[in-house]
Amino acid sequence: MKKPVIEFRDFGMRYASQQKPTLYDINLTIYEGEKVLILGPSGSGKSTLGSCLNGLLPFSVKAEFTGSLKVMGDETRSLDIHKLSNRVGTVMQDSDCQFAGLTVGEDVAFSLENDCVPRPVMLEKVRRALGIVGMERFTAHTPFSLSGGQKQKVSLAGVMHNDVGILLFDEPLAALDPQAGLQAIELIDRIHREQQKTVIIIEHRLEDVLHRPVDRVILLDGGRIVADTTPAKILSSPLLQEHGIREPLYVTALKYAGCEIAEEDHPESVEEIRLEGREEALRGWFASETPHRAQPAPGELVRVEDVSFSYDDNKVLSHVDLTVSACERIALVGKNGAGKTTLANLLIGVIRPDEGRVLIEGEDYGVLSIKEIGERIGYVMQNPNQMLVKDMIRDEITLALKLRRVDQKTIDEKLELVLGLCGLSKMRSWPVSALSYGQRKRVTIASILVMQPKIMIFDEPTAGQDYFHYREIMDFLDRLNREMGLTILFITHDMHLAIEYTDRAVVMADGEKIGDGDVFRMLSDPDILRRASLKETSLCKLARRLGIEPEAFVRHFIEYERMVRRHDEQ
Amino acid sequence: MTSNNLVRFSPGVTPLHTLCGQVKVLLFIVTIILTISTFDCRILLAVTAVAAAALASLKPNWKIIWALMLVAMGLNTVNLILFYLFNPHIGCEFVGTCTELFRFTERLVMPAETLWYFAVRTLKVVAMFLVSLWLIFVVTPTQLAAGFNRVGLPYKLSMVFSIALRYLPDLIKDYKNISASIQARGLELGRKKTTLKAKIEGVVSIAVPLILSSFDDVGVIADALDLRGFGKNKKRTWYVETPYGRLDKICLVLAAVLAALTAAYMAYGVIVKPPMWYPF
Repeated sequence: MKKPVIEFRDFGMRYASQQKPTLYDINLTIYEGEKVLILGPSGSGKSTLGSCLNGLLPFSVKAEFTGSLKVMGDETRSLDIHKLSNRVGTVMQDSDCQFAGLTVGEDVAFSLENDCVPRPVMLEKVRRALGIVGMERFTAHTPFSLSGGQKQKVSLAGVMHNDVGILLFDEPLAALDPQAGLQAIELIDRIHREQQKTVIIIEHRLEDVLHRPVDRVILLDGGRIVADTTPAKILSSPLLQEHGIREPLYVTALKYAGCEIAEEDHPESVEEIRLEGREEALRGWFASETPHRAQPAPGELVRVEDVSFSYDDNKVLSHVDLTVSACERIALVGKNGAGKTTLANLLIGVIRPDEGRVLIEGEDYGVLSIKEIGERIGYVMQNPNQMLVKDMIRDEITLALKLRRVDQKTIDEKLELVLGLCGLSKMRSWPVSALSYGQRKRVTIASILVMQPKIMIFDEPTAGQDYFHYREIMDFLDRLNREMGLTILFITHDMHLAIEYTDRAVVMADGEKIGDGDVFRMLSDPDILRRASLKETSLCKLARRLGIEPEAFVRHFIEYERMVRRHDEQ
Repeated sequence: MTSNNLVRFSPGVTPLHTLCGQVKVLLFIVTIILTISTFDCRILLAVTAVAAAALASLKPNWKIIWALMLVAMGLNTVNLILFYLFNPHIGCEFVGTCTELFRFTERLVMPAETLWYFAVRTLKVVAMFLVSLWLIFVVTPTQLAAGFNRVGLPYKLSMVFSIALRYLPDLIKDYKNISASIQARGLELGRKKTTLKAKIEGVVSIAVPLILSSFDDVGVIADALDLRGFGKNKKRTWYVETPYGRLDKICLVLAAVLAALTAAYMAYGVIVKPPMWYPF
């Protein structure tokens, strides 16, 4: 009989500031040494559930608990946040904010210092914890010199002391590039096995978490547990679609080919999922006709010629060439620090080339001010809160026009047009503070769109969004591209986004452009994927198992999916 | 910030760098008190010489020191001119005699004692400046926090500086991004011929999103500190505080002796109230 370490009994939780509870009727037992995935769309209550476990609720944010929650046998309300943190170690989503020390060693020692552990013992524990996560060579490094994945490892090392029995990972993949995400999942798995910890992962990216096996999946929606079962069972059920979770792409491909997915088919792994007797169906599906997307008419908008740029003595862009044409959809991909954001800043004229030149519609943009460039190339930041300056939606959207002293009549016309396009007509006089994250995103897009630029650059447009909101934002942007002929350039690490919503990928690594061309070809080239810290999709693996050329298989999948979705829309 | 020449995040390798934070802070406190308490140029000269030697032993970046020194001297000069305009006889009051050298106008006389007083005052600024620079160059922010905590300051207070430094670069990055985005929307920040109203508008347009988005981060940081037991106990231990070495012990004795001498000297000053030392 396994020992329960976490027991929710008829548990409910209501934030003191809210009328209705956020969690209802939670009955859940997690046993020692288990590895559990807590899955759910945004707002499902999955992160809240985590905060109840580590004590942020109710000790840091006021909340009312009903029912019972025991961690290692004790009611959490009889403990406090500090006692709980010695039982549950939390690795937060934002490992940059979690990094409190000025060096790696100091940060890992942080909780030991607060526990008044004598220094000699502390040094030994820090050494041991850094050894476990493989970061011992970085002890004296500052946080500013580490990548996102490295910071996360340091965070993990910092919460493993004192034989913390339970490790809680809150959206561990959100801030990482695809390769670092894979490594994080592998590290979590290794620590689960070698250190005999109970592991709880909160995520909405099911396929990426399933890169390594989990024992159980708890699906949450609307503050309730919808399913508590094995990965195989949940993948063979319709629950994922019903609750807005993206199923693994290889599972979708099999369903498109008309295969029923059953629990005993091993749907939890692309390497093991049963293909016997299904090759025919899959090949038949692969051979079916799908409409090709019309190629955009050539018409050059921007040309970057042999551009280099350095910060201090650091060369961050090196001899980059790039041509962007009308109506294109381009993904700018590469790991953090590869030069993607610098290239975007260069395109909008915030920084100018040290060498080489940039032409906008044939004209050297050296003569143009940032303001003038802004009318042709718009830029939408990742975090909408960093773009919003006005209280009212209407004022926010018209700001750029007012700064250009456009007459009131034209402003009103353009405002109407943009409000309609962005689905904000009913909210025009709302205060910005009343909007959700997704609505704010739309307002920031509208505030750029109002200048009618030819090109818009989006920095990680769907970061932190669940599948439903991802679809919503991306379909909206895709409509702008189709209906208005807007050229769109996405800066992203999201492989799904790139293959689903763009035609061309520009791949950056260490300040150089290492690839530029058809998105399916670029993102199935193993050499490019490795150098840009990306990973191939599971569709490539499935294609290889079937002996089909991966690039063609992925292309067929995406075209088929577009066809299905268009059919659903009509 | 990663290659900042002024603040260093890991200690250097010279002997003084290896002192533990508490000793560095104590040496600084005692010396700065002594410097503030005296107008005796013999003591100030001694402090200046020792501080300059100690600073030199750290092999610092002299370019930055000269630049800062220039600023400090500029401010000092302005200060002295104001002093002089306010009271040309200020030196006489300190020394007790008055020897007029020349006069600019009827009111603005220049006594030798005032010149002496200004010279000593400048020396005092130089001494305090060198002592403070020594601390900045010798200590890491975390050592500073640890050092102040171990001489009695509550750790929540002593760590404010090091935690602020940790998140400052992120704030600078956000600032740059926000500024870029608002400029692309048409706000002209660099233009010289803007009105005051336009300038204020520019500042607000960057400050509002910067502050609002930083608030989100502050919440997360506070949670992160809570989850790792920050504030759990009245005391905490320090990863960066090494045990006392030989040099630490020698410096502690030195600091104690200096503290005793300073106390005696200050008591003497309060009881006897001697005039300022003036050799002429």
